[in-house]
Amino acid sequence: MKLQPKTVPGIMLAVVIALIPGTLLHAWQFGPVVWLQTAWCVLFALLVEAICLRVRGQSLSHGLGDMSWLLCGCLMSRALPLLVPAWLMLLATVVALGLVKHGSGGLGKNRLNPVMAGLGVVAICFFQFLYPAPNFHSPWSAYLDFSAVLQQQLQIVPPLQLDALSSATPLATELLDAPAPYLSWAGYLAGGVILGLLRVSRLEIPLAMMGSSVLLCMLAGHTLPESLHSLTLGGYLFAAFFIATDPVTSPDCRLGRIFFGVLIGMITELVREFGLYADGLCFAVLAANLLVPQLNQWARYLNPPGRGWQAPS
Amino acid sequence: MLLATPLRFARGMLPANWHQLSSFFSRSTANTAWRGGIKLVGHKQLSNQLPIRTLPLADQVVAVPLQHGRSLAEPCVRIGQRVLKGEVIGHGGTAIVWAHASTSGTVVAIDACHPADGDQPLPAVHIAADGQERWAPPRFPPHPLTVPALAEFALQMGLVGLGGAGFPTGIKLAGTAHPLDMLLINGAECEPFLTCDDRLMQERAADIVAAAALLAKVYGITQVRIGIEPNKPQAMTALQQALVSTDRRIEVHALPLRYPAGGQPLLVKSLTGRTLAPGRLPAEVGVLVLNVATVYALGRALLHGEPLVSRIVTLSGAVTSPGNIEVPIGLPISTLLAAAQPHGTGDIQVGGPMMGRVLANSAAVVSKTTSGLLARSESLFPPRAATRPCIRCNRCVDVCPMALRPLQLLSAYEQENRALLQQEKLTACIECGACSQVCPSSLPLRDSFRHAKRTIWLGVRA
Ligand code: SF4
Ligand code: SF4
Repeated sequence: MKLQPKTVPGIMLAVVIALIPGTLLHAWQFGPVVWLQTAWCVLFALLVEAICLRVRGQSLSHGLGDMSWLLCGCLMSRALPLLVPAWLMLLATVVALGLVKHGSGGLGKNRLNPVMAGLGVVAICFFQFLYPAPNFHSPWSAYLDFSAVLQQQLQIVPPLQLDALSSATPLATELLDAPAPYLSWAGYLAGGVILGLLRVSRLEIPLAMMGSSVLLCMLAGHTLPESLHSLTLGGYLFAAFFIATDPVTSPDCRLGRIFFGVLIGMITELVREFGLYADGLCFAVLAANLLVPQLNQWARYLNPPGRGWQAPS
Repeated sequence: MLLATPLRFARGMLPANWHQLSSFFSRSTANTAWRGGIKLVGHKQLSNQLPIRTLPLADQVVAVPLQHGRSLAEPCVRIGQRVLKGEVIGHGGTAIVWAHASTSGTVVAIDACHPADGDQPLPAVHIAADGQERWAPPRFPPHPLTVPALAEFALQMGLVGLGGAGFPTGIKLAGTAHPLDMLLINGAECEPFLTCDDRLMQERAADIVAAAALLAKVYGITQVRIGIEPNKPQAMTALQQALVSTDRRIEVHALPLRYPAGGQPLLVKSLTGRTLAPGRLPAEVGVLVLNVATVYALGRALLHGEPLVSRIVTLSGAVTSPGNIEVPIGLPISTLLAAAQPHGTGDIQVGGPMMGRVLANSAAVVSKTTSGLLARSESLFPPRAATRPCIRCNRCVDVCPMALRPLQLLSAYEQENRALLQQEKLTACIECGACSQVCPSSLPLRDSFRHAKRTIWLGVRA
C-alpha cells in the first residue's frame, strides 16, 4: 500500500494516470481526435475552475492545487462523444464545474456527478451535435488528421457526416467492411481495477453495477456471453470504474455503495433495452446520485454508527 | 417505512463489517477481532535497544505537582524544610492522590509549575535536589490486604495511570460492585517512537509479574492477561521467562499490530472478546485494566514500600542521544533535552505522535504521565498539508476502530448540530486520531471531536 496516494491531488492524479491505458487504446482506434478533445477539455476545465475560484474569492493556487479540474477535464473528454464542436465541450465543462461543482459549494459538496451532469445537459439540449459520432462500428475519425479534426471542432468547415465521408474517402468502404475490434474497455478495466486495489476507488460499485446489468440482461432473454459482451460496449466500463466510483457523489458506506451500483446497473440496462437513448449511463448515474442521501440513510439503519460496540443486552 | 421489517431482519443477519465475516461464520470462538485501525511506522528501533538509565541530579530544582486532574493535595511541607526521597509533601486525605518528594533536598518554593503534557499550570512543591537521593523509610501496605485498603494505599502512594490519562489508580482499584474475573495489563505501547514500556518489560519483567500476581490474589482474579504488540519480541520473551516460575494464571498475549491496539475498548476486545460499550466501565464487563508501568509502580509500592516518585521517559526523534531515562517526577524538561541533544530547533513532542502534543512551555516539568519527549524534524514528523474540503473518500470510516463515521461527525460538528453528533455516537470516539492520520484532505477530525465533546459536555452541564 506504499503506492496509495495520501493527498487529494495525489488521488486525483492517480485517477488521471489510471485513465491512460483506456485513453491510449481509444486514441489508437479513433485517431488524433482523442488527444485534441482531451486537450480542449482540460484547457476549458482549467479556465472554468480558475474563473469560478476567482469569482468565489478563493485562493487560486490552493484551489487549482487539488487537481480536480484536471481529472474533470480528462473524464469529460472521455465521456463526451468524439468530434463534438469545441464550444460544446466548453458548455459541458461550464455546467460540470461552474454549475454543479462550484454552484453547490465547491469540491466535495456537489450531489450530482459533474461530468455526467455536463454530459446530460449537452445530450438533452444539443442532441443533434452528438450523433452520429464515430463509434466502434465505424471509427472513421481515425482517418482525420490533427488539422482536419481541429477544423471540425472549431466548426470552420461544415460538419462531416458519415455518408459524406464514406463516399468521399476511399478508405471508408474498406473501413466499414472490417470494423476494428473495440478495445478501450480493456484499458478502462485495467485502470479501474488498479484504482480499486490502491483503494482510491471502491470496487464494490462497478462490481454491483456490472452484476445487476448482466442479471437484468439475462432476464431480458440474452445469453450470458451476450450479457457480458454488452458490458464492454459504449462507455459502460469507463462509467463503472471512473464515473460511478466518484467518492463525492456515491454513498458513504459499503452497503450503500452496493445499492448504488445495483441501481445504476439496473437503470442503464433498462434504458438500453427500452429507452430512446443509445446509452442511459449518464441518466442512470444522475438518478442514483439523487438517491445517495436515501441510500446513506438505509445503510446507516442497517449498519448504525458504533456497530459492534453496543452494550450486550 | 414499508421496508423496516425486512431491513431489521437483514440487520440481524449481516456481519457488522468485513473483518468480522470470518467470526460470523464460525460462531464457536469468542470474537476478539476488531475492525479498523492503521499500520504506523514504529521508529521504535531508535531507542528500544537502549537500557533504562538515570541522569545525575545535583543542582536541579524539581517541581512536584500537587494536583492530578481535579484532585488537589494539600501541601504539608514548609519552605526551607529538608525532605527525603519518597517523603509525603502533599496530603490528600482518603479520596485524593498524595504527592511525594521525588528526590532528597530542600523545599525552595510552593508555587505553580507547568506539566509538560498539561494546559494549566498546577500548584507544586519545588525542591532543590541535594544529589544524594536519600530515601525516606519505606511504607508498607496494611496486612491483610483487602481491596479497599489496597485502593487507599494506592492513593497514599501517589499512583496514577502512567499510560496516558493519569486517572488515580486508587479510585480505579476501589472498583465497583461488579465482580471482576480478569486483570488485563496493557503493554501495547502502540504509539510510534515510545519505548519506555518496552524497556520496562524487558528489564523488569519479574517485578511486573510479581505485582500482577499480588493484584490477582487481592482481587481473587483467576486470569491475568498481558497484551503486547508483537513488535516487542524481547519484551514478550522476558515476560514469558518471568512467568515460568510463577503460577499459571498469568498469560502473555500478542495484540494485533495495528494502532490503536492499546485503546481500552480494543484491548479488552483483543484479550477477552468482551465488548466494552462506550460510556461503560471495564468493571462492568468484569475486567480491571491497568497499564504495565502502573502495575510495575504498584509493585514497587506494595512490595518495596516506594511511592511513585519516578517514571521512565523515552527520548527519541531527531536527537543525538536517544534513550529511556528514569527521571524523578518534576524534573525540568530542559534537563532531559540537554541530555538528548536535539538536532534542530524544531518543536518537541510530548508523548507519542498520535496522542501526544507539542510542548507549549519550555519551563515545563516531567509529570507522571509524560511518556516521551520527541524532537520533531521534517522527515520524522512530516508537516501536515493545508486542509482541503472533505472528498468523502471514506478512508476515515474504514480506519475508525469504533465503527464511527468521522466525516459525518465532522459535518455535524461544523453545523454545531448536537442531535446529529449524538446520533453519530460522538461519545464512542476514543480520540485515537486514526481518522485524522489517513484523511487525504488533512482535516482536523480528531481535534474537532475532542472540542465537540468538550462543548457538548459543557452544554449538558450548564
Ligand atoms: S478521510 Fe477526510 S476526506 Fe476522506 S471522507 Fe474522511 S474526512 Fe472526508
Ligand atoms: S479519533 Fe474517534 S472517530 Fe477518529 S478514528 Fe479514532 S475513534 Fe474513530
